[in-house]
Amino acid sequence: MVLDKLKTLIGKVMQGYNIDLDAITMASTLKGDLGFSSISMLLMAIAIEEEFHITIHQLDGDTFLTVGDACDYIERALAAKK
Amino acid sequence: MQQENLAFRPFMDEADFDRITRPPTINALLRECRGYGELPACAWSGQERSFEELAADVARTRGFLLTLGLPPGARVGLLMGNDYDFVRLFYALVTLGCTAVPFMMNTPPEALIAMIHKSELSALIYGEMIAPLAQNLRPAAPALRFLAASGCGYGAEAPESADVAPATPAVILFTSGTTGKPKGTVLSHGALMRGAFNGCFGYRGVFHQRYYALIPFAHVFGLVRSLLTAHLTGSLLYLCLDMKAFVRDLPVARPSIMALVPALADALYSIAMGYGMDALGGNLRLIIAGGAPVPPSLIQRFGALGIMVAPGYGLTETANLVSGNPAPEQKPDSVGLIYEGQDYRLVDGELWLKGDNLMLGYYNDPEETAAAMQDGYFRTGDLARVDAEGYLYITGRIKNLIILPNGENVSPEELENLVCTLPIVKDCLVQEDVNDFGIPIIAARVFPDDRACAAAGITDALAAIQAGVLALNRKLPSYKQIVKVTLSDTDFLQGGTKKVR
Repeated sequence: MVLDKLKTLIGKVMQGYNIDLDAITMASTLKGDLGFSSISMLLMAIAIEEEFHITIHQLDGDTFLTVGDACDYIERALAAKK
Repeated sequence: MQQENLAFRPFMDEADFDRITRPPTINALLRECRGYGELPACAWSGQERSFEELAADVARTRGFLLTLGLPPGARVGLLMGNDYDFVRLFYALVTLGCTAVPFMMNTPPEALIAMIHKSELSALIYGEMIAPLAQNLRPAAPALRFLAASGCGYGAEAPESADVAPATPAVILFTSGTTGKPKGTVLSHGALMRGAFNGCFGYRGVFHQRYYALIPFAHVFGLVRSLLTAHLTGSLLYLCLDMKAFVRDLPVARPSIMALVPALADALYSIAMGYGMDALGGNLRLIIAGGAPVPPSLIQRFGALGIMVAPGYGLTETANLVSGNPAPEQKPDSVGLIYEGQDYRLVDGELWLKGDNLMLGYYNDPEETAAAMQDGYFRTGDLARVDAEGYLYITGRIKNLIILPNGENVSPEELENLVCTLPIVKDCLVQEDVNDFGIPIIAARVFPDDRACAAAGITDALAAIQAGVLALNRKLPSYKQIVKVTLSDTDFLQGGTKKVR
């Protein structure tokens, strides 16, 4: 579920870059496989906060290397909210 | 009427030009700022402080700091974001004659510990956001006083120190340098104020502007060109408490001037295109761009929106502002005219600088200081030329350093050494590359150790090295992470240890 939503967000953040969303897996690296720049990382963090109503600690965003890292973080933050 | 930087006068409102002053110390700056009275000095999340209130808050923060019994000239670390606590603590410390040592929040813990020891801190004040990290640092510096910024409140109003002179050290700012070993650049009150003064030249509308402080104050560009120039010109500084908040902040902050690295300026352009100019606050006139080469296309695209992008050139060691471009549309490739108060030389194409904006040296590092200086000049490591009209162009680098569009400097050597710690790697070459979308990235070409791979039963060396690099990346700040790994079938030695680049 989280992965599907995240894929949609990635598609929005990387609009115009023709990312193949179906090819995205938990192991996909944001900067390497998906071509994220430091600014797209920032924009994705903003998009995640709005979509999932969670707060990403300013420094934690730096630790997202793979799509799986972001998914795990979101799931942990959602669980902590319950 | 002031007479410096006359070359910039034709590009400015004459009344502005004549009004600019250069306080010799930050103490003098704050005394001058009191004259701005009830005008707003800082704003954030619905709060505001006038210049008068700021001066009083700084005096009362001094009162608190005096209760700590810090030794004269103490060095005090500031590990926090661009919040009001930073502003009042920074001003209070330096006007007491202490040296502020601001740290970037994304500094990895090991590097922070090295910097803490190197700068011989008496205390470290940390922001709320960074509290867990500060806790982790404690065991590595058991003798150091750790203070939460929220606990550093206000005491009775205390006067500034009478001993502060232009040559008094005000800050130590750490740079990674070409070997990745952190160096603490010591800047005096006089150097910082020269930088803040230079920031007033080359554009229309200097006084009573609205600034948005997106670049960290722990970076010389944010400290000098955002904080100090804003206050010197009686301008409001809207504080960016969290990088992620900037999209929400801009319509409220309504900045007229922003100091930005090119990557962030590019992001603003995308926002303006996608959501209209009001998304930037509808008030933006000037972007001071620095930290990395500014693409001329950025100047043209913003120019079409009526926003001037003015590239500048500066280094931590030069209190940021060496040159600024007052005519970017005519000279888009130039970093501008060199501000006065500096002597420059071009030696074998390398830019050497001397002037009162120069650092006092690297703290506790006579060897590095001596290596950086020659004949009284600071060797920038940048290759440059100056045209007939006095415009400076940066054409390359002597030092082996990757400069990314977000202004971060990365030492290839440091990353190469790190990759070579992987047991299946024999040699490595780290270079700047671009990804499929044209975005600059850090790439590593790796020469695998076939014997070690065979011994470990590894058949896919590339996959194994990629996994190893991913693990290394987890310990690196985002901007240093190696994005692309390719294999090489030879090593990179050429006559001794010199790498081919």
